[in-house]
Amino acid sequence: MNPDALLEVKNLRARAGAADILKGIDLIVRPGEVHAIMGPNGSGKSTFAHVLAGRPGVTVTGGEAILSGKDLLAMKPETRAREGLFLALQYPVEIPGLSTLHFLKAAANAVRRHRGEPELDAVDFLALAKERAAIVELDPALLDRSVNEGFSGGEKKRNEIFQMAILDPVLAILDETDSGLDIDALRIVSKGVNALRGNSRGMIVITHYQRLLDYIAPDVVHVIAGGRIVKSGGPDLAKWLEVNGYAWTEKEGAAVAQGQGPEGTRGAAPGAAPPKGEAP
Amino acid sequence: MIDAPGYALADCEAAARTHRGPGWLSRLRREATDAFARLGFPGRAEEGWRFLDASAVALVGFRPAPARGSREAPAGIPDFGGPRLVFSDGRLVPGLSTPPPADSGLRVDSLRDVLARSPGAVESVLGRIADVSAKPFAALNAALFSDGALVRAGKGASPIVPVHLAFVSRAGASPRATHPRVLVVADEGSRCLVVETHHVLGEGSVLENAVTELAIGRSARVSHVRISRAPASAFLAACVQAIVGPDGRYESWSLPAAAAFSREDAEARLAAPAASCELRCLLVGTGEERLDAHATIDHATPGGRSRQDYKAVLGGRARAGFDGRIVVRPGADRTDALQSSRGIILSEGAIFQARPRLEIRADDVRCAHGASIGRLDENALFYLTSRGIGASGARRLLLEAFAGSAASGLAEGSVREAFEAAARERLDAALSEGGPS
Amino acid sequence: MKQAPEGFGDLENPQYRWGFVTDVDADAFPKGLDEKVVRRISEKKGEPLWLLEWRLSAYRAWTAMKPPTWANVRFAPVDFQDIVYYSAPKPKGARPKSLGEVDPEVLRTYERLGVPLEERAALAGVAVDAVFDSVSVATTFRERLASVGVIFCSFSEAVREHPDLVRRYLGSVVPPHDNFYAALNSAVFSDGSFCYIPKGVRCPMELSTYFRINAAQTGQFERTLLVADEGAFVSYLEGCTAPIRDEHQLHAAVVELVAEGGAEIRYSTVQNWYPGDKEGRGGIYNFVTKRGICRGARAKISWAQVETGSAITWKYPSVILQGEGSIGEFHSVAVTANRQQADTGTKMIHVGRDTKSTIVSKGISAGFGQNTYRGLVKVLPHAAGARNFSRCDSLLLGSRCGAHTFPTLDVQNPSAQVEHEATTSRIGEDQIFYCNQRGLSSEDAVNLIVNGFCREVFRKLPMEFAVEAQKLLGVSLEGSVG
Repeated sequence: MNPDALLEVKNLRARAGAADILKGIDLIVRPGEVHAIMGPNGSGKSTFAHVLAGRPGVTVTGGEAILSGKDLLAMKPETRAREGLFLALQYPVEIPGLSTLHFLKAAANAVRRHRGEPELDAVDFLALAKERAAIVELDPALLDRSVNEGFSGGEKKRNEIFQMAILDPVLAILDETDSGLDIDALRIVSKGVNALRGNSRGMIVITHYQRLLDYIAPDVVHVIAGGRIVKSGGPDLAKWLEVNGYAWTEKEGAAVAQGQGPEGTRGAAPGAAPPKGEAP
Repeated sequence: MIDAPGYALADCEAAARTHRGPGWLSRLRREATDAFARLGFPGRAEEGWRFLDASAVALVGFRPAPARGSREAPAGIPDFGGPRLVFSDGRLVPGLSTPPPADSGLRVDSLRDVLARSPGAVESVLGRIADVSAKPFAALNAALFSDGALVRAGKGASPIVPVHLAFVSRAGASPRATHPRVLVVADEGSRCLVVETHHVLGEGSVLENAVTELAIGRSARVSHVRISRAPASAFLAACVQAIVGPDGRYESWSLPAAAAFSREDAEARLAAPAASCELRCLLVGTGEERLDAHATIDHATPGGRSRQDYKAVLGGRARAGFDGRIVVRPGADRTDALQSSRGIILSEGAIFQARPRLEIRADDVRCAHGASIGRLDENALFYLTSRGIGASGARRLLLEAFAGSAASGLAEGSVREAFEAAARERLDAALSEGGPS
Repeated sequence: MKQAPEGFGDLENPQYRWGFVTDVDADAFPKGLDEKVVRRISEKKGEPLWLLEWRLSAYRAWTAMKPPTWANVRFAPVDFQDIVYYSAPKPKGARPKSLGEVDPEVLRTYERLGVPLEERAALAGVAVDAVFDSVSVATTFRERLASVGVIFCSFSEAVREHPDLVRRYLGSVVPPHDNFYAALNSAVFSDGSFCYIPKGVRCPMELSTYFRINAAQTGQFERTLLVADEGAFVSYLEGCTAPIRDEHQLHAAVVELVAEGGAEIRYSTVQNWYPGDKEGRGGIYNFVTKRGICRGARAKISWAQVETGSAITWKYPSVILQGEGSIGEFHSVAVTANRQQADTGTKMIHVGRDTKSTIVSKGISAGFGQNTYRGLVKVLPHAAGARNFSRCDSLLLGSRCGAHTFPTLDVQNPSAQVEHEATTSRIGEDQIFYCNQRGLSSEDAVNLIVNGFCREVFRKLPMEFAVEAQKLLGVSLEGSVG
């Protein structure tokens, strides 16, 4: 086990229904790092996020994931959240009848209780909420509405980041946070995410398009295909992908399946960039 | 319950002897007669008949209309430019009927002919969709019908012309009954538009007791329009029952007539995954008319989608009711069912009763209904009159706006025009009798 | 069949906290009902002749009636001759004049129920009329109420002390021949509460009644009569519990409310009936006729209720809106789980001009529970300007329960405006996961969502009742997280 890793994933395998989706993921995220995971549709990006968060419908078939030295996969989803894992969903669900404020106060206090921190009463929580809402330019009036009900796509994504700001996680996973957003919404959401970057916090940003990474600059970029990470590199890798697309991953994925290593390093050491002159 | 009158049972026996047909048909008629004998006519105490019961029907001795039908077309039978069958007092009038074009994929025949020449074509469907064991009027029809229409859209058929079935029933010296019968079969992937127009004429006592069965196959689409015209003295019963197959779709637009007694039962069973249906109906009553419309949508399998949109406008001292049932069976996940019923009451003495009913036994569903009953919006009325429109003109405009969606979704053309014209005519009658409101 | 997602699973029978039996000498009749039993009841209570005759005429009407049946509720027929119609704890000596004289066993029962009978309950501002089986045992704080002219006592006592008042209003809202169970109740009612608020008086405290069914196979037949004279105000709370028994027990109460001009009555109920075990054995049959009449102009009656449990529930708190501008309200949360069946709803009858009614009904079904809402909004021909808004929502937990709504809107006046909406929703796996991912346990998630669902109704309850209601809901959904 890597002592300074925040998150260590080793040979993680998982299936959804009858299909094997993750075929051996290795990843180390250290505090302060932002890792981007990119890949074609069906590559397993979202599944990876769901497995880490403990979403029903996916079964782990092998490997391990350690968060802050603890066995993540052995914990119930709410325990993972209380231990500091936050997943910003690609499709945030609506909960009619439950006010956002009420929901978040209960969640925030559950996390605080777990950490042995004092709980917040209604007044203090409201103050915290308003302060954090400003970070993502979220209208505080939305707090009185039912969770995500009637929210536009942009509002839903901002609400996810807002919740992240309240719950103060150590590892934040953003699952295609940019999907369905126009440039303005993208800018606001990214501003919020960047405001929450910190030395003690790690982030995994999952995206299909390079565009988001113009706003949220990653330290490391990984490419996932066929349920494995097939390439890792520096921020330039994302730009290279934008130009060259994902078609090459089919070959690469096959090569990996046959036990041949891809170019570049896998589960990159932070900041590791590919050798100059070659395809990144 | 009012016991089945002896004369009616005798008529059923006589019909069984007269209308000989294949064994299965005789069995059907016998079962129907037995059902009617057991059920009788529903009285006020019976579930589903409390708002408008059939005791008045039982009091009048309706006998089958005489076998000689008139050869003339009464005024008012429209021509939609497609195949047409015209029935007068239960008999086909060949001179007024038009066959379908050769390449349309349609078969449009009189049931009597089909039962005589190729009964196998309908054996598996005729009488098997409308369940008579709990429906006395449908049972009576099954026992007594003499002729009717078969419409069959062949696999992949997509005719551009509508099929028109016209039924004329005339009053005579003594009370008489006709039993129009329709069977529509839509084979895989077909699309068709079937229009039924019912014309009850004359001032004597007439009972028109109609049954329509529709079997909609895989990925088939049937659009069904039903327009009834009858004097205020008529007695009307209509039963429309559809079974929708996988990815099939049934859409109906109905304009039933209000009369001394008028009862419409529409039922669609979404019997296979991804089946859908939309039922639209406009109920308009005036004078002393009565009309009770019942609709049931049965979601038996997952992924079904249904919409019910019923509107009512009541003037004079008319009474109308709408009983709309959505049933979602266990396992019918991802059902999407919406029902809306709205009524406008124009005058004192008019009554509208809405009885939405949801019976839900699956949880992964989206089901909602909304009902409202009221009067024309006073602010809107004022707005129109302040722009110079007269009060009665303003009321008419608002009513048309209210009732307008009854035709929505119907393709533009002669059928839609006929539907809208008939609706307008009725709204005018209701308005002229409804006091200022 | 789909498994219900984690978070509520099957609503198992949580340890039913109030399931215990008090071992007290009961002075009971043998089973069965005939005219002799009716006479004996009346005689035992020392009733005047007019009341005996009223009971007898109700009994005779009852013998000619048949129990009602409904399409959606299934239960074994009740054998009315297999029930004891009168049971009371034997007082030691004369009637107790203060708490110190009440059978200590009985008082211990109330303590376990959490009924505040002690003197310090005065600070809580609750006057309690505790009905132990068929006879009221103690009534407190009567002096304080008496000082403002409020009468709040047991029904039996009201017959003795205020016969004119009782006679004027008894049966004026629910006549004995109104329905089968009302007729039965009118014949054999044991006791209940009587309350009269004089003109212009705002009752200084919330009035409340606790009662329970104890002795085996004793039907419970309370009669409650609550009258608010012109301009008066009263808030009344009703809460019930029952012990665990194997046989179904019958409960057929009648509640009559009369609000004169400008008066307001708020009637709140939090009911926690033993729901029957997982197989549906041993619950309570609860057939109640509750009706209020807004007699005078601008009178107002509000029904608010939270119900869980009860094997078979049949009750339709109703309001007759006679007075011009009068208002009727109905707010309800009903939870059915295991094999419970509920057939509940309300009737709002608009008779006078410019009357208004609001209905908010929330049904929660789980396990194999079947929850049916049956409402009637009727606007009679002279009810000009009537306004109604109704909303009934169903929340389904799991795929084996059912929610059914049958509202009927019957409008006979052209200037009325009646609107109704109904929705069905569920708590899905993805919603539970979303809450989990934010640090909430599945049980907390279900509780939060259910409370959000019921919020509008809880707001209508007096504060301490609302708290109890939320706890009750939590208990009902307890043990549902796998």
